[in-house]
Amino acid sequence: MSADAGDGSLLDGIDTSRIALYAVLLAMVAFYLAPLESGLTTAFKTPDGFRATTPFAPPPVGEFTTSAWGTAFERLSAGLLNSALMAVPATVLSALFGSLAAYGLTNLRWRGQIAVLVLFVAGVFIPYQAVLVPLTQFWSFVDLGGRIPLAVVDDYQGLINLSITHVAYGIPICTVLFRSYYATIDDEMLEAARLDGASAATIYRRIILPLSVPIFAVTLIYQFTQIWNDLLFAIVLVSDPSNQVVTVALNQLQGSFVQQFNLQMAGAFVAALPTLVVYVLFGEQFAKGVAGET
Amino acid sequence: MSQHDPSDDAERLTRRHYVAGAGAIATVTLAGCSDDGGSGDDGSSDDGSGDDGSMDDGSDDGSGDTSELEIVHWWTAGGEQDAFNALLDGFREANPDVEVVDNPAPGGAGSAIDAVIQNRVIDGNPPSTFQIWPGQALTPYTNEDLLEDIGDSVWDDEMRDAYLDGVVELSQPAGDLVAVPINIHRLNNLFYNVSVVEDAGVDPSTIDSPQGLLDALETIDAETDATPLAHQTQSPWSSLQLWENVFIGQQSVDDYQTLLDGDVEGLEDEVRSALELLADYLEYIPEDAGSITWDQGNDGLIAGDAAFLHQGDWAAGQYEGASDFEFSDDWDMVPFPGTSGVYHSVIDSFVFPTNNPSPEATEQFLNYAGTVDAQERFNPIKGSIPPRTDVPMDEFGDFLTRQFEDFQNSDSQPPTIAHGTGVAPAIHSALDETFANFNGNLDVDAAYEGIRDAF
Amino acid sequence: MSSRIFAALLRDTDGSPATEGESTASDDPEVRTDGGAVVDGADDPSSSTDTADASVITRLRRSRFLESLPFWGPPGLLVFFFVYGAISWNFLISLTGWEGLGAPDYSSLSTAAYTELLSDASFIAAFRNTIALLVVFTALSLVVGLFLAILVDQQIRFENTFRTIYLLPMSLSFVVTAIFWSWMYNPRIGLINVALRGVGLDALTQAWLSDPRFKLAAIIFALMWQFSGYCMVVYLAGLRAIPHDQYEAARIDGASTVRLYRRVIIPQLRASTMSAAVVLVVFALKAFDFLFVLFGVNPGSSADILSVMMFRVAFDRLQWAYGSAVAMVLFLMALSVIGPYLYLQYRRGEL
Repeated sequence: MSADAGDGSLLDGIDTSRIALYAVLLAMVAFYLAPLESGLTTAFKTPDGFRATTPFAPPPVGEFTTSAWGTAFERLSAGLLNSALMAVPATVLSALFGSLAAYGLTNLRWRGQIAVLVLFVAGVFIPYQAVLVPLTQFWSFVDLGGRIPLAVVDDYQGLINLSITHVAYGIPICTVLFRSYYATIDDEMLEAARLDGASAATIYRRIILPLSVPIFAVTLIYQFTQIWNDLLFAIVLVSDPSNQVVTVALNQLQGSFVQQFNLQMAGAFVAALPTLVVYVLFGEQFAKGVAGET
Repeated sequence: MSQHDPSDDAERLTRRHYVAGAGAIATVTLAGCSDDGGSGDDGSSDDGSGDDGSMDDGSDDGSGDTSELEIVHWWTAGGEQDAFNALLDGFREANPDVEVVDNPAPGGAGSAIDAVIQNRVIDGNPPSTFQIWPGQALTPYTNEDLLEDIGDSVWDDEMRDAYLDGVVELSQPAGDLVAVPINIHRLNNLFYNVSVVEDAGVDPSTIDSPQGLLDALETIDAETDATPLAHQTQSPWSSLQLWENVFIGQQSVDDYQTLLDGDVEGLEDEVRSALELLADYLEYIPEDAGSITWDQGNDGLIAGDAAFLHQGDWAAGQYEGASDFEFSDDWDMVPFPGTSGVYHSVIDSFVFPTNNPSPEATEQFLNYAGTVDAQERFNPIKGSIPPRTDVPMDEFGDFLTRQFEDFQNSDSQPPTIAHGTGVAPAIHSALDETFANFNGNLDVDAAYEGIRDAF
Repeated sequence: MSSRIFAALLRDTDGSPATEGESTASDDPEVRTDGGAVVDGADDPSSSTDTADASVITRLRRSRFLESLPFWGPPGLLVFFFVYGAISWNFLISLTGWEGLGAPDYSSLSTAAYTELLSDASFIAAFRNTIALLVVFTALSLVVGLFLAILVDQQIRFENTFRTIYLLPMSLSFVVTAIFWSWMYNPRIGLINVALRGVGLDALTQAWLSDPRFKLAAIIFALMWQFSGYCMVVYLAGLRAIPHDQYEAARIDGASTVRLYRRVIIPQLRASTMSAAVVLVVFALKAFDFLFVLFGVNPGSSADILSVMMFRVAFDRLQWAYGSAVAMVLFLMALSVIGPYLYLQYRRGEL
């Protein structure tokens, strides 16, 4: 399916082992793209079309349709909006907190720092199931909608709860990402600034923050993807259907009565669109973020 | 908003405040705004502010606004959706001043809606009313007094007389009447494609035992290319409900009732026997049974690729929708072999949750759901029969009319396990797990142990 | 905690001669405004006055500690509360026997839930599957990732494109990838069986997601698809960190490529392997979303894992205490992997 990507240009003056190398690389490309390609072609087929043709073949004449996309978008649009309302603030806040914490735990050295750091790092690896029951308890007790007499809090209570939850559980990984970056910042430069009389806050604002732009990009991309993609917290913490996020809506699309594969596939792409766009635009930074996670 | 159990709420609110204090420390920014203003008057803080919010700005979340009725249900597909819309139309005609907020929770019976409703009820933020199976499925709610007693406000004498006693019984699992059943599906049906069984020389009306059905499946397999039994094993409930019917067919409704009461060990041989026969049946199901839904299997029956289907009579709705597929000419149904005097009932109902955001409108809706008009609109489209015995059957078509006659002539109407009325949700869930395993490994011993441990 | 305390302490430090030459004369206003904005702005005038008796070093350390507190304090509090507080609370709930739609009763605690776990066949199956998933998924993803990294490291053209494609699945939600894979695995018209039939391997076609023999393997394969690209990125970073002359030296010695990698390169990737493995284990423990979309709460005993079991028991059966107990086991499993990892990292000074 994608084996025709660039053979012509690759072949020039290359011996057989190089050809074999590119053949394997392209085979792996096929492997990683096959589920996506199969889904994409299916999303454009009518039900008769996807029953009658092989899944990776393009839609046959007369069986091409975009109606599944329209339906999918219609059924997911509210979820898309809710996901955006929830994920964007949560992403920004968790990155900001992560940056502050990493600064406080990296560039400002003090004894015992490591112990605090260990608690942060361990937080990255917590299975969410271990906090799920208390979380539901906690948010039903806190009852923001009941305590803050604002219509917006009442209407979006589920999303606010979810957003704060994601901020809290995102801080550890953001801290780790920022720390690995801040550890490379030249200590002497910070020391010099300190000698000039700059406070910790000034150093953070004048030196660290401007230097952090690349790592902010990485962290924001990574966090946005993680938060947008979450299903578990969303099904447990959001009970009001009007606050439903897109992953939950997509799962319900999948669970509906009659299995319409074209609709499911189109829905999957619609729901994945923001992360796909982010990924295609910033794939390089994403890769950096992922590698920096270690 | 004033009708809930005060002691329970007081306890909840105290803890709520305590924990909220801790939460305020953590959620720095938001806690700053909340300023804990409600700590002086515990009892009214959550209800009261909800009221204020919606009165000030006319917000549309339904809280505290008695003219808005939020209904959560799982009727989101095809005929079911149409049936529910017909019901809502009737309700709107009768109560034009109530604004209905229709909140479908797709995902099919019992899957997503349970979690959604449970969360909201635990949060003290329930919808006005929601769809739920009556009987044992209600017990988690009744155990905590989370459903209002509607014995006086809704269940008047006229309504009580019109419903069958067994159905009224299911509406009061803990003594108080808390639910209004709206429809009854029959579970113990054996649907078949007329021409396929004729080709194989099988006459379904002469099959008189579950074992006889196995012989018929063997014959179909030998004589035709069709799949003998259009069964799905992707989700466990189809096998669970088939096992229930095999059990009743092999034994009796009395034994089934004993089983529901939890005496599995006393019925070990009977339970195993039904499992063994079910395992034999499952040799005759579609190759891809594990990845299809029941309606996809039923498509096979319509297309003539499958002979039999054991399913609730909602399956008939699919035949009505198919072109050139007529009742008695192309498809027909017999009671599951060995269960002819039984009307194994699957029932949906609506309830009145406490902390109700719209007590008046909810009462109006439940009253309406119990009327002849509501049930006459809803059931013909839904493909079910009305739980009231005095609904005119003109609109119901030949098949449902015959079902209704069967119902009235039936000796017993036991509740089902697979559809929640017969056992408490925890048992139901454990049985689902057992049959999910059984679908994969057909291990009778393990399944027996699973059933024994579930009860 | 408040800005004034540490402003005061900073002044102490300034006054002492033996500090590292810090003269933070203009410090006070800065700290008060910025530090105050970061915390909740609460002022606490009951400041401390431990000056003369403390040694210079102690004061210096303390001041640095307090100086850094407004930065990591608030996020630390969130983490402490939501992660460690919640886990402790979860443990408490697991002791209560709480069921149903009521509230937990903290007055009588017992470990009954944990004893029950030991004799619960579904727990044993889920535990076994979880271990199998962790081990096989991690090993498989590492092998594939290493293979890819070595390929990509051969000074290929379009390296970025290849890398981007291999890593692409990781950016997708489990909900999305589960939908794709349920379609891939469809026994009748899914790509895998269609492809097998296409090359004449009809005998190998399976009902991948419903046959208990293949269910778990099918899940592991799909998860490997999603995360092996991640391993590639980690290994690639590891490979690039190895000095180039080592390759040259081995070549001069006449070592074959296979031998070169096996003897020289791969042993040096131990750190990459370990950090990738830890992250993979965590992903595997979080694989709930994927299974939930495919199977709901009942994957069947051949594919059930602890995270799904926990959700089923707690949120489907309302047996909250029992679900919390399952969650504690899951937490301990995670701890048994990350504990040694963090310790090793600490020992090597890489934390």
